[in-house]
Amino acid sequence: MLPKGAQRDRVLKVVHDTSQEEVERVSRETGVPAADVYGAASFYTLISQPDAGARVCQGLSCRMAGSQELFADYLERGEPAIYASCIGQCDRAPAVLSPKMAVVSQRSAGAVSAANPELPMNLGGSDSLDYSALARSRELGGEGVLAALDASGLQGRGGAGFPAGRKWRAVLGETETERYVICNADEAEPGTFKDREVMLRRPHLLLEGLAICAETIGAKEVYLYIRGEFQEPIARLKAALAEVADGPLAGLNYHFVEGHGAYICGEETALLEAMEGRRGMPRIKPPYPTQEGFRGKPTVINNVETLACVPPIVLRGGEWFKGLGRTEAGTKLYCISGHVETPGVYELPLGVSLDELVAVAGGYVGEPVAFSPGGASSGFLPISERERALDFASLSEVGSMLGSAGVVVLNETFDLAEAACSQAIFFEDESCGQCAPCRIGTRLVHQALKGYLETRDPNALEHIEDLAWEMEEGSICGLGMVAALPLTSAIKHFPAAFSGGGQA
Amino acid sequence: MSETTTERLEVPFTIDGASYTALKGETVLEAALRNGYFIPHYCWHPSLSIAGNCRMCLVHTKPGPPKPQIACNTVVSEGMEVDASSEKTLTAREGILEFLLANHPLDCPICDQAGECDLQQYSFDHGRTTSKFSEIKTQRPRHDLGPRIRFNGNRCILCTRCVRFCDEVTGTGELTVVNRSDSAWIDVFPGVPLDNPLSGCTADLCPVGALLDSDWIHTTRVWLLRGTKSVCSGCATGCNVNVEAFDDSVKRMTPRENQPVNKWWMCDEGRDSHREATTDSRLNVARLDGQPVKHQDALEAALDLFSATPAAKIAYLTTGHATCEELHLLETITDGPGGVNYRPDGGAFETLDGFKLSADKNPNRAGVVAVLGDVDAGERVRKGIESGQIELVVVCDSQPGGANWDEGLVEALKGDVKAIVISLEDTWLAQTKQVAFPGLHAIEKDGTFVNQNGRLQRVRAAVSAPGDTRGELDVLQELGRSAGHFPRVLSAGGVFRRLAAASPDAFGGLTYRGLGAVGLPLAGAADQTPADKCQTYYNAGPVSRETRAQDEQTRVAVHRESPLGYGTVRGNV
Ligand SMILES: Cc1cc2nc3c(=O)[nH]c(=O)nc-3n(C[C@H](O)[C@H](O)[C@H](O)COP(=O)(O)O)c2cc1C
Ligand code: SF4
Ligand code: SF4
Ligand code: SF4
Ligand code: FES
Repeated sequence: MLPKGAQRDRVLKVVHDTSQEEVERVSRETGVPAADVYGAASFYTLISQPDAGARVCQGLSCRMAGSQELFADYLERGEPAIYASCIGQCDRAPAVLSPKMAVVSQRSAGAVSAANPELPMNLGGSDSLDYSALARSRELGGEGVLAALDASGLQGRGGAGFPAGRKWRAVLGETETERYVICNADEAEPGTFKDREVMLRRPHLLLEGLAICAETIGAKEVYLYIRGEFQEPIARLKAALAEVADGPLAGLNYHFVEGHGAYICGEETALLEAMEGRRGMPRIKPPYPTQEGFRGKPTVINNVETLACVPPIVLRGGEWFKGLGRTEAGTKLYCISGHVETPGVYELPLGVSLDELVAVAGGYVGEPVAFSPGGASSGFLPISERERALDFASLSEVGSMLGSAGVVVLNETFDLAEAACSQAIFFEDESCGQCAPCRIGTRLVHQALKGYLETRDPNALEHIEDLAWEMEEGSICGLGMVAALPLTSAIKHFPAAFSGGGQA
Repeated sequence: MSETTTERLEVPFTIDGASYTALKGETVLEAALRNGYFIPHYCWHPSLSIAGNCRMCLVHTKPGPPKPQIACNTVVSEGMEVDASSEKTLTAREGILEFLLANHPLDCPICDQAGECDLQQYSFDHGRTTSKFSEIKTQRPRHDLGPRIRFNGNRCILCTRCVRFCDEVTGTGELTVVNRSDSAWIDVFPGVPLDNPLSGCTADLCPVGALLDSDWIHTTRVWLLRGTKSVCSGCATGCNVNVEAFDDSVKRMTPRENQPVNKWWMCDEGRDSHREATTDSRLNVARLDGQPVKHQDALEAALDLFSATPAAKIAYLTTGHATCEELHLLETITDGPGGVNYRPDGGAFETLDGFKLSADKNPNRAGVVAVLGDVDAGERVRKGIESGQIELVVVCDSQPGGANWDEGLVEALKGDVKAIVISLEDTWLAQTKQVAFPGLHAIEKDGTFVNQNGRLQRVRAAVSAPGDTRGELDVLQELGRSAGHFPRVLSAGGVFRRLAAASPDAFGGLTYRGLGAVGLPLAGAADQTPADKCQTYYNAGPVSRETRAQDEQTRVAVHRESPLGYGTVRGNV
């Protein structure tokens, strides 16, 4: 219970660090108890380590590109630097975030598919300002839009693949009429940077998708939760909004909420907690956000890409979109990084194979050995799966997942135990710490791997299967459930890499 | 949970094949516990919001997903089959324990929670006391969070009961989780200590030894404590407590559940109230004209004085700390006026869930009204003394620190009027008047108090009084007997029966035994909760505290029944 009039959801907006004076100031300003402010602020790395210097990405792709050497260089030069979890610049690996949140990299910004008006996202194309899909959606009416969405077979692009139409209908079915739409732009799954490109290149597509969603479910307030490391996309979106705010979007209120450095806030209920000014710890479900979401009201939370698919679906019909896919509906933005020639974001029919994707990205570098099809959470697959369809169903058949479609390719030069360790470090750092299986399990996984890498003694990895099973059974959210998967999948597919002698 | 059951539909379901009924909307954990089926849990508590973070209560349900669900956040549906003890459920639950143990210092031998620790208990129940994961354990800080609460971070399982208590019950919000991942711990904000009036409850709520009451730690192993179900005398709330003693000395007071009175809580001042019994200023010998004498000598002098004075010339003075029985005796054996002194008001506090720490620091003010009716602060006694009408005053002062009589009354008492004083403290009256006897503190006596809402509750002697202290009931009855009032000295229960007969309006129909552990309402009381509605299925304190108490009772019972004598079958119990 907060004191009357306390403004908790302002806490994270106004707090800059965890110093005593700052916490006291924010506590006075918002009326939220100091301990509460302190606890919330200390959760987020951008707030708890505000002046840490350069943030050197330690995501897998950046590691493979030499981020550890880069980090050592910083220290040698005497420049302050810390490691950061994946900063969403895998195509520019190794990447660093300057203290002012600017991306520092030797490589130029990522490649995308060439312009093609037949592609729904068409990242190579340009935005139009006519908002004709929004106009069309008004002609169709809510039921018409939902029918088109259902027909399109659009599955959520944030990772779980939940049918978008069903989510919107769930909110419509609630009796409470105060409703919200939130765009999940917290993109932080290692290997994933597609939402970044949508926001940079097609901001109007996203704004329009949000408007259609809001009108369909009867929401007035639209929120975009964007990771704070994405300053450029945030600026681009704000500029785009300014271009049209008085025109087609009049009547809707768009709000920007910046993340403060916590991967877990991509999980939709942790995102809600963060938006309400608390520690970003996932809520237990039920209730689901469609029932009790932001401020306890029915809320649609969709990924950037999901929302950006909506305008083309409304304009050209669900059937058209569905037909673009190969094994599942529509096109998909695949992010590819690691040992390939031209990392980038490519829009391809949902269900292409790794080989096809890499062909578009200029081919493999070196001899591919393994790949991760959908971010750290999807574990590793052997290159023998190179022809498997990269879609939701086919990948789950082999114990992996499409997730965010952040594909990372590893060649023979990189030790899989090192790769698994990189992911283990990520999950350990990013666990919200709420539940024991994940809080303690992620640490145990990392320690086991570290022990193995130091000693090359396979006994260090004893009990990992049990550990992984217990984490999967007992964790509250997806993070803990999959956090051991990179290691167990690597052991399963590459036993030689864990048998003591280094990679076979 | 607190809604009336009659309005709520019952939902049949099964646990491990046995049939039970849940109330509509009840979770599996609530329904199981209410039906007496125990599912282990840490983070859930009936008074707190559901956190669902400890994962200890995992069960499988049908209908339900293939993965285990947390019983504390799964609502029972009609016909639901709960599997709470199959191999696969137990394995999942053991996994959780294993994680907690992997992070837990195995320092039970030096931990004050040992013996009433839920982690210890469940580990024991599940046959695991170590983890197969032998990795390095996390190191977290150990420090004081406030004046009475000490935090041992390494033992914390981050169930957040303590944080939620300060947010949702006291509303004071001192605690938070800081940092994230395995670097998270419980803390206060520097300069804002955990010092709300109920801070001790966080230690009761903590299922492990991470939060301990620094007032009692390092004193006694909990299994050596002997608990007495009593009532706190700190204020008019009348919290139900366990007075826990070892070697005839009180080590701590912990709350007992009584929903209409104190829910599961008690205040920090109340926890410390037993210290009033061990102050240096206490009277622990009888006095005759100020000089220490044997009880018998003092009694003879008192009897002489008492029988030589006509009842109409005897007044009495007492306090809001006297039990109803003491009040009744005073009124019975004297015919002059009476006066009552009350302790001045102190701090009040109300929790968000309706627990009221009373500003009235007198445990029996309502009892005074019920037994004596209209009495003043001693005005009439003063006038009686001044006019020469009153020749003897019986002073019965159990107020810690001593009663603070009005100035005029003090002047009057300083004169020639005689007095027989029964006093907790070695007051000026005890030191200067004719006869004085040491009195008892509430932790040493039997009797009844009426709380602020009119609930009549029993205090029970938990330890013996210092020296040759006979106490108020004994002395007052001896005096009364000399005037032909009592055939023999009665126990508190015997006196209560006379009281109930003498004041049927307030006490009619009530019996001393009938008061049981949670008391009964007086006629017309604000709190009319019947005894069977005072307690839920959930005790105050860690789950294992109650288990320990039950174990102890079993052990004592078995010892008593053992043909070979005390202690011989201990190993089997
Ligand atoms: C640990 C974790 C991290 C997640 N991170 C993201 C994320 O960065 N972006 C995102 O859109 N969804 C993320 N999700 C999925 C969201 O919880 C949610 O399912 C999604 O935003 C729904 O949108 P969609 O239906 O459009 O996919 C994450 C889920 C988990 C368990
Ligand atoms: S699984 Fe991990 S990230 Fe998810 S709630 Fe539990 S501790 Fe937090
Ligand atoms: S200190 Fe105790 S009550 Fe608080 S979170 Fe830790 S284990 Fe739970
Ligand atoms: S509230 Fe009153 S009765 Fe309860 S513990 Fe505190 S002093 Fe004792
Ligand atoms: S009691 Fe259910 S998760 Fe803690």
